[in-house]
Amino acid sequence: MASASSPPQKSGQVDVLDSPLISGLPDDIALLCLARIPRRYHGILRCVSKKWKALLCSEEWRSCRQRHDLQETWIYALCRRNKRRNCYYVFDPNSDRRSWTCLQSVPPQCLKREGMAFETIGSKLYVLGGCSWGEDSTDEVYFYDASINTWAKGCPMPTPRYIDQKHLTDSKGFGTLTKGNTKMSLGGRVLPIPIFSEEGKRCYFVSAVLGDRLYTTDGAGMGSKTFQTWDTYDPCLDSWTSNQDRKLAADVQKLISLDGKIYSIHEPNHEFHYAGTFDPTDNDWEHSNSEIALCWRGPTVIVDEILYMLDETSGAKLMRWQEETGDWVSVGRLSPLLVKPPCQVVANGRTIIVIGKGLSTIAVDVDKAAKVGGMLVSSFSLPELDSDLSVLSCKTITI
Amino acid sequence: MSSGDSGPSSSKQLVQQPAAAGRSPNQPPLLGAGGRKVIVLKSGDEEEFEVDLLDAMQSRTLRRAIEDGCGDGPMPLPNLTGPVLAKVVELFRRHRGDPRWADELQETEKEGMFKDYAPQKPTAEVKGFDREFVSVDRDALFDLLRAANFLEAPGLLDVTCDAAADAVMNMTVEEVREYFGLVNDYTPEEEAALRKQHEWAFQ
Repeated sequence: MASASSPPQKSGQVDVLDSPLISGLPDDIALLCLARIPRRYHGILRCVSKKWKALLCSEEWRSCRQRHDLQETWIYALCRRNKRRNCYYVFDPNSDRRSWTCLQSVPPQCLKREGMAFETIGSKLYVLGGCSWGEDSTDEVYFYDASINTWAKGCPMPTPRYIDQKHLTDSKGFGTLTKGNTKMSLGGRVLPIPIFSEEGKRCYFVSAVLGDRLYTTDGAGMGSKTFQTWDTYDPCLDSWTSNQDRKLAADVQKLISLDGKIYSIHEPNHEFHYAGTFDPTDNDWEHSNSEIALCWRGPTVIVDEILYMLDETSGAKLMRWQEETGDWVSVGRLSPLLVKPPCQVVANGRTIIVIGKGLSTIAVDVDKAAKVGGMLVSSFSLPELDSDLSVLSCKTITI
Repeated sequence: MSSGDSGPSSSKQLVQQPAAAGRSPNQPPLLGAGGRKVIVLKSGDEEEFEVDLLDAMQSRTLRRAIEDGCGDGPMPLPNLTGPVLAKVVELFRRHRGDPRWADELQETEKEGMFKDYAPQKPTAEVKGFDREFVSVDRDALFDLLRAANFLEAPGLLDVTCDAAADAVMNMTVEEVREYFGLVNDYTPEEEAALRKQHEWAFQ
């Protein structure tokens, strides 16, 4: 891992920079040739020379592949095996030999924790926070950089407001926690054991990526608090900022990034559901159309700025959010034989990929998928890989 | 090359701009005829090739030279050898109407001069020709890549870059180094660590 950042400092550096990418060709032509090599071979290219390795994680490489429509999207899945241990899988949906491959060299911390957030920005996959038996919730951030195939540690999330173990019960049997130097009453709530910091956002919190920023806030069921706060991560600066706003309601079930805004979908209260929106241009939370909040029911994905939800309340039904009419319309059902719930969904171009238990996978083209007997016909499907795996979250990285 | 023919008239000067500025009516006299005009290209080793004027427009370099009025006599291309130029001229002929360059050309010209060159998807025949065209050894492929770079010919560049990328797929790290004439600048330890990291790419 250390080798990724350290080497090009010493003696050979000048030679490395001066030598051509390919001997006998101008560098811009060499780049055009190399950029056409599919992503599955990039691991080999990185081993050829230092200059090639540097090229493959450069902005120049990324923009060349983007300009010439050569970018490839891979899917990353965070899975949990037998409710005990995490594993990370990657899948190339455009390959002829489609199969899930387990990511190696994952930091041990990312293997045992649960309640972590899982997000991608650019070529990086972030694994944030989480907790495990015998370990309080953490503020640690790890990321996997797909352009160099290495894991590293990022800037920790903003200072967690730890539950002060000494003050867990006072004489009246009420819990207190320290937030900075202020003590807050926990109102006699029964504290779970182990104690996950109730007011922190390190475990079972919600997140979304908008533009090149990552947003996180407390998840649902995080107990009483005066304000719902949210944090913003800037991957370029590797730094966090914290914010709070009275208008951000509590019990956020998930955050969705859509139309240049963040939608907060809240846990339904009896029959009442609620959604808010956050506009980063004025840094303000507003109420939103509440019907969109029906997507608390299932995993969501956005295809070309259109929101889809996989409603798994009875079978698996793909629904599309219709902004103009403000309601959900059915796209079709998925065959329970091909993909086992609970599922996660991601998009690859105009294709929605549904990943179920055991990494059973199907792909549905939102434009072309025909329906047979009300069931959507998939463009490809993969059988279950390992029945012990539950898929917790899926994201994509395009390089 | 453009400096070879000094004293372009003011009307020719104007010609280079309409593409960007969108005012097209002024055409260079050479292109005005609209018929099957040919120009002569001369390789570094003094071989001469006749090429349809419109085919030659697939090269931005040649296009600029023609617009600068260099197309009257044989046009010297000192850094291309006869065999390379022969192949390139043949590709230009086969790529007539290829969208990889015809799109660009249609945008630049407003008089309908290239209307016979309506972009069409490469046919199976053209694709077959392309495959044959790059079935050459490494050195010959590099000659063609350098020619594509010098001539700024998108179609030629596309075919040759694809071929170079195809060539190294399924090669080992050592084979890639040998093919591209690269020296391994990793220490054995660095390389071992990197290979371990990318183990699944070597399966």
